[in-house]
Amino acid sequence: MSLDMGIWVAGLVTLAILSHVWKENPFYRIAEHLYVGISAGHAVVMAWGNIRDTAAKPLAEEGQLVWIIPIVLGVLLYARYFKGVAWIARFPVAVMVGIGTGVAVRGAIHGDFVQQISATINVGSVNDILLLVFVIASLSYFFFSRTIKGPVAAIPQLGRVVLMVAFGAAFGTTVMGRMALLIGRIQFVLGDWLGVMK
Amino acid sequence: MERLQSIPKAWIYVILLVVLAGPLLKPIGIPIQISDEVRTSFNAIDSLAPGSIVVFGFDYAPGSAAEMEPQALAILEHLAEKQVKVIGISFQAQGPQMAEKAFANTAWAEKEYGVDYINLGYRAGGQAAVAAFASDIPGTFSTDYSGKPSTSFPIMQGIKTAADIDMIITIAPGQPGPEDYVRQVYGTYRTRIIAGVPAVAITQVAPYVQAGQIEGILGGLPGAAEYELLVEKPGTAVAAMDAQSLAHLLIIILIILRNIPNFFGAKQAHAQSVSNSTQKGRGGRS
Amino acid sequence: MKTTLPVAIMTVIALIIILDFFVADAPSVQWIKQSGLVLRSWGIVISAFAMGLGAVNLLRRHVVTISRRESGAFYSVLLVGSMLIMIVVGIGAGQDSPVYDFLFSNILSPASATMYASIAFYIVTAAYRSFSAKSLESWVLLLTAVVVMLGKAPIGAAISGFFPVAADWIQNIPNTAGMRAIMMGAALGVVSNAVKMFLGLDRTYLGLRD
Repeated sequence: MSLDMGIWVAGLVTLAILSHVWKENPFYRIAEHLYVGISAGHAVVMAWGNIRDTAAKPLAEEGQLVWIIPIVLGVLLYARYFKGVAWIARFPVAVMVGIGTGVAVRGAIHGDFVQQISATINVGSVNDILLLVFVIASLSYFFFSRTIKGPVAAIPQLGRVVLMVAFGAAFGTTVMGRMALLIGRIQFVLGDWLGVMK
Repeated sequence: MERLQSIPKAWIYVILLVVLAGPLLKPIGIPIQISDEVRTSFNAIDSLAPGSIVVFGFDYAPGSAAEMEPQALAILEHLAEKQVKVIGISFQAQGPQMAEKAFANTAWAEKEYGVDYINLGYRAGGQAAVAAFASDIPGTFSTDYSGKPSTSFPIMQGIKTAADIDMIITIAPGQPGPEDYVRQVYGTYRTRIIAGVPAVAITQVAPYVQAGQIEGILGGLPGAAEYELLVEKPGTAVAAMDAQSLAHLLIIILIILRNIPNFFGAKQAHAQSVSNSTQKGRGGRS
Repeated sequence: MKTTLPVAIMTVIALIIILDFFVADAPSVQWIKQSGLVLRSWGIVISAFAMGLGAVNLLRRHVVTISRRESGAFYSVLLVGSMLIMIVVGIGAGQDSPVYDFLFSNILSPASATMYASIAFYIVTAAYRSFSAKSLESWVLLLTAVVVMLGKAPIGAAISGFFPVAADWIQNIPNTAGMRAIMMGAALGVVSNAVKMFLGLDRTYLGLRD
């Protein structure tokens, strides 16, 4: 059994959070509130580090005045807490959303669309042909503009089955991941804390 | 049979704990097979020449560390052996701490900070930060984790954009993750990407792997276990594999128990519909 | 001014970043590349400021609970106290100080890991209680899940060599096809939503409901 105080605290926190599975209780709430507080505090510290290293230092030490703009915009985000001037916060939000949208659009067009099409039509084996057919079938399932009737209706039906296979695989891997996380905690309790694991 | 359909919740919890803890205390030793995807990743990393520059994205947090950390540690051991240089970065606020821990617990602890490896810390902004990193590495990560100018370290000399990087390895349970590196880095610079993903994300990154945008993946804890075996350093992931196997078996048994009535119901319904249609058919003919 | 200008700013910035991707290295368009570079680095700084909003919201809520001595005030004291300790120690003494490291490693880490781990209990009971197959599609989903669960863990190969091969095929062919279709649809969604935002038809990001 560990004699390290940190391990003991971590062990007790683990049990406190785990106890919620049984029912809500004060130990869980203590651990939960400490967790939220520490996470939020950590986020602030990391954010401060980003502002200091990316903008404040170049501004103060190298006189790069351009950094005043994002700093002012960042401060203006907090205008939302002051009635009457809350609308000013829309400007930094607009800048952030503009950057995010620009980055997302160019990434999505290229990485998630064009390159996916070229990978799909590059057919060289039976599996490649199957992949091409399955992609077309799955895409046709999302075609809502007009009801597909007649013999071609089999295509979206096949797409539906393909999507079910994908969701089934996703369920299987989700189970796999959740079990791994619980195993990790059990390894900590039995190994690091209680020392009964080889 | 009905009893098996209504096992109380508490019992299921206890059974789950026993099934997971049992093999951890007394391992069964089910053999672990190396999958193609992990071998591909291993071979890709193995192909790196000594002195190559690898950017290692510590894009995971303690919440997912049980799955992600064994992957990171196993790959870092391999990288140390390959004598490459590792630039640690993170787009997840709790990632730099994970990087510190990982470097300290692998062969990297023996190497020289700033020369062989570096921890550049965290940058906010998600996918936009990944894009910023791709086009301007020293500008985006102007300091290391402790606040010293990154360009003052020998390892950062000559590194400007993602084109100066030989490989990106990201260990990421969510976003920003491999998808964002594909969209913002691979799209422009064609930098090789290896991704350690949690089991949950294996199915989501599969299209990128098929398209060749991601060269190889490690999926979940089994992916980590296989890599541990390939680098001949069995660790927590290998130790967890028996429990992982039994957990899957337990879930499958529970699903079967749940669906026994449906199966028989379906068979009965099918039999009934067959007999009905036969009767109708006969009726039609007569 | 209060609405049109932010929409215009957002549109211009987004277009610069999109154009940056398409323009060549010619000197006449270098300003686009340079602007894109500068804007992306600003994004990091503004996002960092935005991270503080969450902490401020938490503080506001819990300080009210404490000052009114509402039920749960004790927990709010713990939350606010631990947050402030992290901030003061982290900014004052640095993230590698022993107190910061202790709180991060021994409270945040195990709490966060256990939160996610406890989902395992719910997924087991959900699988047992709700995973009931009653149609062809649900049988397909269920059987795929079973094959993947067996194929992805060592137990599958121990039972039969079929499981890892089948799980790989499912992952690489039908799953890739289904996920790719969803991904391509989502990519089109990103583009069409961006166009709506550029035209001022979607202004929800400014807190406006049209």
